[in-house]
Amino acid sequence: MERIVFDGVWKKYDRMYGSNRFRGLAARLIGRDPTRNEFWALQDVSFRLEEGKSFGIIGPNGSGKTTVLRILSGITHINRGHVRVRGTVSALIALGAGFHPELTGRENVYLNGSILGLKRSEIREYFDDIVDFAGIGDYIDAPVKRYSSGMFVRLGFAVAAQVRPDVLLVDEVLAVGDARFQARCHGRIRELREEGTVVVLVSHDMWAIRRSCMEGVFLNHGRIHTQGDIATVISAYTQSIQEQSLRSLSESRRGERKGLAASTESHSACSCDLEFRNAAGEPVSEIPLGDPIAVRLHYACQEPLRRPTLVLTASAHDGPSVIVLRSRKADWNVDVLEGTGSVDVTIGALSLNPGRYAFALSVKDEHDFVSFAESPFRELFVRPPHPDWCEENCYYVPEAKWSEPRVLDPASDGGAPVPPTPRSPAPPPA
Amino acid sequence: MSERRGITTPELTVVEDESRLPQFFRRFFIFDLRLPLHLLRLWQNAYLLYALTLRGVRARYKQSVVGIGWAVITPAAMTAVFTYLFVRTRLNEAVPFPCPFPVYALCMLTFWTFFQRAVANGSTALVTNMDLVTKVYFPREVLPISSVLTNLVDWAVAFAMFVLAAFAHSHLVPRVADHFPYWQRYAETSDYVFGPHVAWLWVPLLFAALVLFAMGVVFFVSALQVYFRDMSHLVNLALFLWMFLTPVLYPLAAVAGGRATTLIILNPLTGILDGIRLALLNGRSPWEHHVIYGAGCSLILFVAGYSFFKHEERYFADVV
Repeated sequence: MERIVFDGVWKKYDRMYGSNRFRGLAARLIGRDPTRNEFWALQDVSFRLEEGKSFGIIGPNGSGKTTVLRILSGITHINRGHVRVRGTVSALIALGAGFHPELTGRENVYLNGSILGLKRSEIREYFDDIVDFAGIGDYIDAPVKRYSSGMFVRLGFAVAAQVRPDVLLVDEVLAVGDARFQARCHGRIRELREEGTVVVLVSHDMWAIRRSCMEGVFLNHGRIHTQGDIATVISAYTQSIQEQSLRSLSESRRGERKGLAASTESHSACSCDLEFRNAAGEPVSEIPLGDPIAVRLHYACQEPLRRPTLVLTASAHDGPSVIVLRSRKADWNVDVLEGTGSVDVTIGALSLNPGRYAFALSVKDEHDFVSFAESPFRELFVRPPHPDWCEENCYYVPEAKWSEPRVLDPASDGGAPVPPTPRSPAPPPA
Repeated sequence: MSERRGITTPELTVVEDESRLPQFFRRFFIFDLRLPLHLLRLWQNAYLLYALTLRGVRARYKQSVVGIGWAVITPAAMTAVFTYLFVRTRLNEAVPFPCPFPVYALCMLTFWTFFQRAVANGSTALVTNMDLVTKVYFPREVLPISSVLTNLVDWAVAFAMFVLAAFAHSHLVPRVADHFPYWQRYAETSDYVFGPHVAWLWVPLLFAALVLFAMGVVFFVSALQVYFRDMSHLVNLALFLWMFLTPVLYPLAAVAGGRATTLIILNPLTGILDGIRLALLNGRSPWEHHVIYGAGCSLILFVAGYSFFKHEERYFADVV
């Protein structure tokens, strides 16, 4: 059964006044354009969700992810389109919504439960579970304003956890609380998913999305960028993010370099560039993880450079340099660089985490001090080994071998340290 | 275990952009035909309404010493002040009150205070519950309705006090007057007896009309408060003026062709409150033109306010 139908939805907001139509009326009366502050938060977004599926929504900030959740939970209206949610909805975006600070925990549990759509008998039935789950003990009869913020959120979650909806909406607000609390939240979401609840998840945590969802959508500026299988969606998203941040990175670096070039104007009689070649010597812009690569550095000097230093750097999309190769350290000592030519730098295995990297070359003087020339940024895409690869938050993925588990035999292995807490031994290999 | 719980949301279908002007006015003036559906939905959320009302009642007097006693103190103090003023200026003799002034004033103030506080509290119901409006779906009218209902508790206490005081006035004043010469003249002028009448059966009906009227006003005011925060100030001012256009401190019989007469007659509260006065204080059937007019107005205002509110509801979360 189709749980969610989200069909050609358009949603408009007004930057200044939300969507205050009375203000629009006033603007019209004084001859202003009432639509001048409007923008489309969602443009023609459609997706459908079958029962028992989970759905991830990803995208940069302000792309309309939360708007989708707000529409699904019925909080806001749409300007065009059709939305239908079959069955009950619950949103884990409002932990402790409606808690009144003056009322006791007990009173607030009943109030919050009724707001989340529970019946009185249900709340009464699960009341002890709720108190246990929240772990607040005697505080249940104290006013909520005397609670610590952790107790407040825990009590809110304990009530929300009793709701057993057909559709669960989760915003990344879940990132609050300590690790144990988060684990509990995720455990609860998993339980519901196993019971057939449709989970719609909004998050920047690709791992969370990857683990929980089968399908998803990548929203960009209120439009659908990619839709479908979650792996494709996530890789489209990471690629777009990396492209974007690389672009802004190289722009800012270019600015720095312009300043640098201005200060060394007298030496601008030199230019350089670089390109990538694979093991077969073909020019490439992307290579698979772990392949060898050669970077060909081109130079063109109007006048001879004495004892130059070449510096090759690679930056990750989010800023830090991950590779710096300096010719002097490699004992590459060339007396004079003149005319036009190229130098090859061969890297055995480029063990960079799959993603996009920006390479640049600079040609410097003998003392590695004055820069004669800076190359433009050249982008290299390190391809993941298989399409299901999910990016880790790191830069270096060395080739590693994992051994079979070795069982320690205390009798024959007298000298070897015995692990302090012996776990149940692994079964011997058959 | 497999039983599902949670909130059911209505289906949304919008074929075209609704924020154009003509539709707005059309919606404004025509009653919403889906009103029975809305009421059904409201009935399904009855427990939420109850819980929110309970929250309002409990929260109002938390950490206060006198607590619900304030519901009694306020109208009693006002009655005392006005009685002093009226008796000292002999206004209570000059104006044809249908019963002794303190009884009349206390009765009217009890009902007026209910109306005034219901509207004043209700006007900010949506804005003060902003976190609920922007985070959870439920029929929004639950908020203003519950804030009106919250005041019912105060009213009930004040009303009980009024009944006690009115009985005490009828039966104690003649006896006490023997010992206090100053009261003797007062006791001689009043041979009023507050007693049980069959006509009292009208009072719940008329009070229901008053509650509906308050809800109707609150629907408009609380929805507009979302757009314009001026509303709560405006409402307080309007309520102040409204009290003088309503026979609370003077009897309707005293209104004989002044400038404000038309306004007083057109004011639906005049009919409702005077009907309550007829039935409760004078034991007469309130089956009169101005009372019917007032009750009819309250019904129309309720339906119109509800329709307006339901239409504006969808924008609250975005604007508030």
